[in-house]
Parts: sequence; structure tokens; C-alpha cells
Amino acid sequence: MEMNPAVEISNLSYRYPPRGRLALDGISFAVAPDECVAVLGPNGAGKSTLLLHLNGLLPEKLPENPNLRIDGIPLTPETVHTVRQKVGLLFQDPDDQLISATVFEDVAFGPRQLGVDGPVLRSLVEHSLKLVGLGGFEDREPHRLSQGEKRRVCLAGVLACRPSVLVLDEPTSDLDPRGRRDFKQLLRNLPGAKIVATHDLELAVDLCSRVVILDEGRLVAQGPTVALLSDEALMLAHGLEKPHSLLHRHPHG
Amino acid sequence: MLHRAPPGLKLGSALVIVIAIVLMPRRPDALYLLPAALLLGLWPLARMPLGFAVRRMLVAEFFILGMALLTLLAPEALPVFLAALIKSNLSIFAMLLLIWTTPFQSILQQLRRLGLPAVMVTTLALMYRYLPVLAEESSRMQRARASRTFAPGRRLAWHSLTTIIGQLFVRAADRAERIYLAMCARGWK
Repeated sequence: MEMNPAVEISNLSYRYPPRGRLALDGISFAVAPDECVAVLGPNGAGKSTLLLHLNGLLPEKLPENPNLRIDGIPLTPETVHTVRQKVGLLFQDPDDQLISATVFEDVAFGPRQLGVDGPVLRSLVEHSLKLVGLGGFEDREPHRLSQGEKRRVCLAGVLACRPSVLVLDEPTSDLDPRGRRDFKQLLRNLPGAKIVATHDLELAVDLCSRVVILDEGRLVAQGPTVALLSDEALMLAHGLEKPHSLLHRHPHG
Repeated sequence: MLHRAPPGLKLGSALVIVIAIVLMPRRPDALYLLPAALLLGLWPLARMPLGFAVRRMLVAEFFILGMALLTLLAPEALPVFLAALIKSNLSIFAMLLLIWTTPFQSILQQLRRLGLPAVMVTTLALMYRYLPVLAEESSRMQRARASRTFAPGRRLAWHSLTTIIGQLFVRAADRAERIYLAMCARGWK
């Protein structure tokens, strides 16, 4: 039996209402289970818009003929809540996600709706926090955490829902170098498919085997990370640059 | 046409109309037809769309009803209650005509010229600047909650909503602090 791709996007377009510009223009690509794909592109290329689609948060009215499949499940108004559980979305600004009074409450938000409660919930939250290296943070207040800790609490809240796909929007943009290194290490060890929208090209090189480049809503290139990011002309044409770690590396070596 | 009238004149007339309405008798009276006719006459000159007016009147109606209901606690209150409804609606309609035809910045300018304390003008200006920021922030928080909502229900929706509102207050206070510091850093006193 052939495995379904974790994510399958076919000919996805989106225009911001009313009569805005075309933010996504015929995007198609797929992500295998356990594959990590980076979505790159300049500001306004449509990266965040694309990620919101993966969770059914856009378009405002989900189409009856879905152009998105998660684990083989078409994304329709009927399946959207199943899909939201399968796709864990980590937002760009942790403060958007962390709005509960304590870390515990925030991590428990998702599992509670899945009917988890009592001691099982407590141990699930503990486990999720340990996974992200924040064991014992249950009673802390989110607004007193460092940026890196906030990120990791967000991740714990997403992991607690046991998603099969992790979708990350600029996961390292506001972290210091150590926080960035730690977070990268953490992501590398997590199972499941991952889609990472980022400007952090070193992150793409370290973490992702494949890269998708968007520009002005169109998918302009996709392929193996090192080969694509070494193509200096392609990088510059789309507001990117060749990462330092590849400067002295042969594209096919 | 009303758009091109001097902002000072518009602000002044709006205030006069509102004060006149407030001073009218505390019972339904033929006198109210005067401001009503005036405002209805100005409406076509302002070219204010019906939808714009209706949506905003509806929002205000909650507050108006809340206040007017309080008057019902007094004995023989019905005329007062009705007068409160009429006065509030007419006043708000006058204000709608003003804001539809006058850019907010010119209203602020005129208020300053009329001698409103600078602190209040600044407060209004900041409110106007940051309301959309708060709206944007709340919609991002709602989106983040929606992405982790798998079992939608009314109780959960209310719980999320109250959490978001509470957070908005805390964050607005934090942001106000940062804005204040940034203003001070550029020499505001």
C-alpha cells in the first residue's frame, strides 16, 4: 500500500478580500511523512498566507472541492476540525498564541477539547513541556518568560495535540543565537512532517532536505536544499542570498 | 458638499445641535422635529451611505438602551425614557454626519484650537492611531486559538473570547507604556 503524502497542495490560489492582490497563485507541492520542507521567499511572497491555508484558517469560506489534503484527508468544512488537530501550527509571534494565565492552561487548551482531562491531562502537559525542555514550567506565567521559552511553550501546546504535521512560521526570527541553536536541535528531534517558512537560510540548510521558493504568490522553484540555495542567481532574483555555510561548498559535493 | 465646508464650522454646528438637543424638554415633544428635520436635510448634502449610518447607530443603540433603561427606575419614567432615546439617537446621528464629512485629523486640529487640553487631544489622536493595531492583534489571537480548536462549542468560544479580551487589556497597557517611553525618548513632556 502506498503511503499518502503528509501534505498535498494542488493548484492553490488565494486573493485577499475584497479584490486584493493575488496572494497565492496556483501553488502545488507535496510533503512526504517525516520530510522537512522549507518555504522561502521575500516578505509578502505569500509564505504566511500559505501556512494559514494548511490549517483551514484561510480562505474564509472553505471550498467544496478541496485543493489541500492532509494525510490523504481532503480539507473541507466537514473535516476542518480533524485537519486542525493533525496540523500543528506555530505562529510567528508567540504572544498571539500564549494568552492563558499559566503555561499549564495554555498547553492544556488543545488536549482538553479532545476530551483529555484529570491526571491524564496533567501528565500529557508535563510530558509535552519536557519534550521542549521546559519540565516544571507548568505554573509559570507566560508573560514572564523569555522569548525562547515562549516559543517552546507554544510548541508544547501544539505537540500536546499530537499533530502529524508541524507547520512553523518563522520559528527562529526573534531568538538569540543560542536560542536559535537550541530550537533547531529541538525541531530536528521531533518526528513527523515539517513545513518551515523562514528567512533563516541556515535553518533551511541544517534542517530541511527540500526547499520551496515563493515569490509574489507563485512557486518559482523547488528542489533539494543545497542545490537550490547554492544557485546564487536564483537566490538574488527572489530577495534571498546564498547562505554562508554554502559559500565554500560545491553544490553537488 | 458638506465635505468641503470648513471643519471648524462643522464641529461648531455639530456641538451647537447636540447641546440644543440635550437642552430640550424631558418628554417626547414636537420640538424634537426641528433638529430631526435639520439633520435629515443635511444627510443628502453629506452623501453619507445608509449602511454606514445604520451599522454605527446599531452599535450605539446598545449603550443608549442601557442608559435609557436606568431612567425607568424612577416613578413616571416613561416620558423621560422616550426623551432619552430620542436625544441620544439624534445626537449620535449629528456626530455621524460630522465624522463622515470631516477627516479625524481636522477634528483634532479644531478641538485643539477650541482650547481642549493638549493631553486630551493627544489621547484621542493615539486612540485613533492604535485602535486598528489592537483590532489586528485580537484577530491574530483569535486565529491562533482557532488553529487549536477541534471541538467547537459555545462554552469554549466564550471562554476563548473572554481570555482574549482580558489579554487585550493587559497588552494595551503594556503597549501604552512602551509608546509613552518612545514618546519621552523623542522629547515629549
